[in-house]
Amino acid sequence: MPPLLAILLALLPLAAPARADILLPGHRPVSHQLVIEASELWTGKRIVAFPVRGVGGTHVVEPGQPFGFSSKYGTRLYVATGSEPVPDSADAAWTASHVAAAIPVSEVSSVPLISPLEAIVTTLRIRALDGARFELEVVDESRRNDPRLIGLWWSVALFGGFGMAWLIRRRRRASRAG
Amino acid sequence: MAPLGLYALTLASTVSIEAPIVAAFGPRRDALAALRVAVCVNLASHPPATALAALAGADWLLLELGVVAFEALALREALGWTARRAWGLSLAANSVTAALALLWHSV
Repeated sequence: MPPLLAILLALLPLAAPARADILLPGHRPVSHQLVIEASELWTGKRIVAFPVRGVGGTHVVEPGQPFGFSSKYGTRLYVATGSEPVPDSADAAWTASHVAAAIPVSEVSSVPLISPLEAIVTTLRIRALDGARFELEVVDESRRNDPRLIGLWWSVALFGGFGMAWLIRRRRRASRAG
Repeated sequence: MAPLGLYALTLASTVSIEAPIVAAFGPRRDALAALRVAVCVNLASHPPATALAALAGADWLLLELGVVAFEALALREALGWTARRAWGLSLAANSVTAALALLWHSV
């Protein structure tokens, strides 16, 4: 085996982050939001997401309305009564005194540079919500991809595939004729 | 740069590097035919490999081996090369682009 080829083969396993062929390394941010379905269990209560802006910031969740979250900063969902004021940023006493639920999905915050993925919306359903228990489950996840990139992939692959088939067929004919 | 432009760049880079390698290191009488086949083979293999990597998170090494195998079989079928030559050149061409991707990543 030529030395250059041997060196390149030895480097192959190290190229894992680079992915197939020449793919530009690196990642770009992507929007991942949550939606909580309306529920009778929610009536008379408010669901508050915290933290939603870095390590602080609260957001009062509305049924069916998308909102952002962060797995990195550990966003959790808290239950507040319908009448109590919601602070702009919750402190330890506030979070300790409210029933909370972990978000049952990990945030996808970035994708490879050439990924067609543009946005993700995960829909959650309230499984339990009372004075002592607050639980959510994932019911749906929709991913929006860039249709132009998907279209380009299909077009290029079909063009290459047909070209290859034509060249193979041509060679076989030539072989038979010769 | 948008994903569309980035993809076009990676595809163009792959084709423009791999096809000339296959053409240059194959038999001289097959150079033009090898160039045509290598271009088509890369156009056929690059989008599915990219899609599998970007959307399904497919294992890179398995993906690369799949691309090498696919391209080797296509070179053999379209050019009538021996298995040894087709596999060797497919492996060499893909190793070069993989190594370049590694260098690119490490910069």
